[in-house]
Amino acid sequence: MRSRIAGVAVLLICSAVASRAGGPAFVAGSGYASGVEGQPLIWASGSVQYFTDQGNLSAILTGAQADALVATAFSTWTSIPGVALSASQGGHLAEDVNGSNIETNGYGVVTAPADITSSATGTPVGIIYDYDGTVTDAILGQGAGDLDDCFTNAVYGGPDNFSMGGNIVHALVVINGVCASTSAQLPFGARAGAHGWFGVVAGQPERVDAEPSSRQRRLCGVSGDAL
Amino acid sequence: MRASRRVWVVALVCLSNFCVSSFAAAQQSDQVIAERVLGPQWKQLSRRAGMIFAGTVLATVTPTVTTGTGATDRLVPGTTPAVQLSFRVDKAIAGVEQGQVLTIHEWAGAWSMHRPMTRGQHILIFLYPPSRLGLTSPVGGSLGQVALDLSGNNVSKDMQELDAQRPAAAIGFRNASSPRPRATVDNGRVSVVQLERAIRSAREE
Repeated sequence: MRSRIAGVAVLLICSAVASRAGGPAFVAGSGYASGVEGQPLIWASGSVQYFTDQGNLSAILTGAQADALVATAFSTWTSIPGVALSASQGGHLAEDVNGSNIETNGYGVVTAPADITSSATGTPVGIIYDYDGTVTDAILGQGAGDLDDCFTNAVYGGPDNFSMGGNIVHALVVINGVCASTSAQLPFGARAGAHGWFGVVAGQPERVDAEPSSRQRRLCGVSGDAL
Repeated sequence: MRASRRVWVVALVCLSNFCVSSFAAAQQSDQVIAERVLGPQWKQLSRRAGMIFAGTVLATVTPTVTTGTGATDRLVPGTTPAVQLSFRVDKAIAGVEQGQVLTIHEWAGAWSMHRPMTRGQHILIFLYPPSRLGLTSPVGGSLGQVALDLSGNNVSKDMQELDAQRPAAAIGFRNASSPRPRATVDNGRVSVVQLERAIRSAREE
């Protein structure tokens, strides 16, 4: 079990470290309040709370174990020197989010559990454990949650609501449990999840001051060129 | 007469061998190019997609999602916003028809997984089959989206050149220097036709 947890930890950490230095993830476009255009979009007050799914991530990883991994992934970003952001778990979502509770209202509007929608600013970061890939199938497209697509869809998501004042006010991250359902799949997921989704959520996927350590590079199997 | 017939037979055999080897070489060349442009998972992209086409972005409608004043009335609580994109299919490869105007809906959270698309942009795109909710997105995020040049017939020499031209989006846009899954593609001139041949062959394997 320890090796499984370590494997998923590698997945999540690698998801967070494989980014290239540069600047903020999001910049305000036109339509924002006066003076905001061109400014980085960041979380207000430099802190954010995240709320995790009530369900298990996969058959081999309980919700509690997944929570620990998410905490590790966030800390990878928030501990970077120069990043003025703290993230803490605010609790759990009110439900086990799965393919059966994401629906449309019949008029082309997608409905979902209220606490994961973009307007749910009381749960500013929702983390979904997509046990069987059906959430991914529903929101990215048919088949997107399959094992074959773990090369990009192991961990994904990002901000989906910004305030007029130039802040990120809601984000959603989905972790596809299909990509972490057997020990053998974990290394694959680690290689495949090389996108800074937790960094994207943090609003800072591009690390200006910090580079991954040589240990992180070895864990993730990436070269400097990939970063 | 007999000798002449033999000469013809030999000539025909040589010609057919030449044609077969030329075809095989061209096919191999197309596959090498596809890997260079689309990345090592190009066959997977080709097979996983429900819709593949080269097209022109006609419109992008992003939801206005704010919690402050202004546009709050446009956001329905309890809903997940979707970006609406319309394309004109210039070259159909799979799941669509030539000349078709295709409108898709993409979960707003998936918008950050790939390069933003702007009106008038020419792209080669691989899309998942629409989900039961009617949502779709590029297969593999940015991997499933290739910028084409202004003619729409060739891969853009610099995959990022169209990014630099894009106007600011209403809900914020990814920084132009955001991480890219692939480096800038150094294409002599890669045509959509070459990629189309490779994609079709991968889907038939």
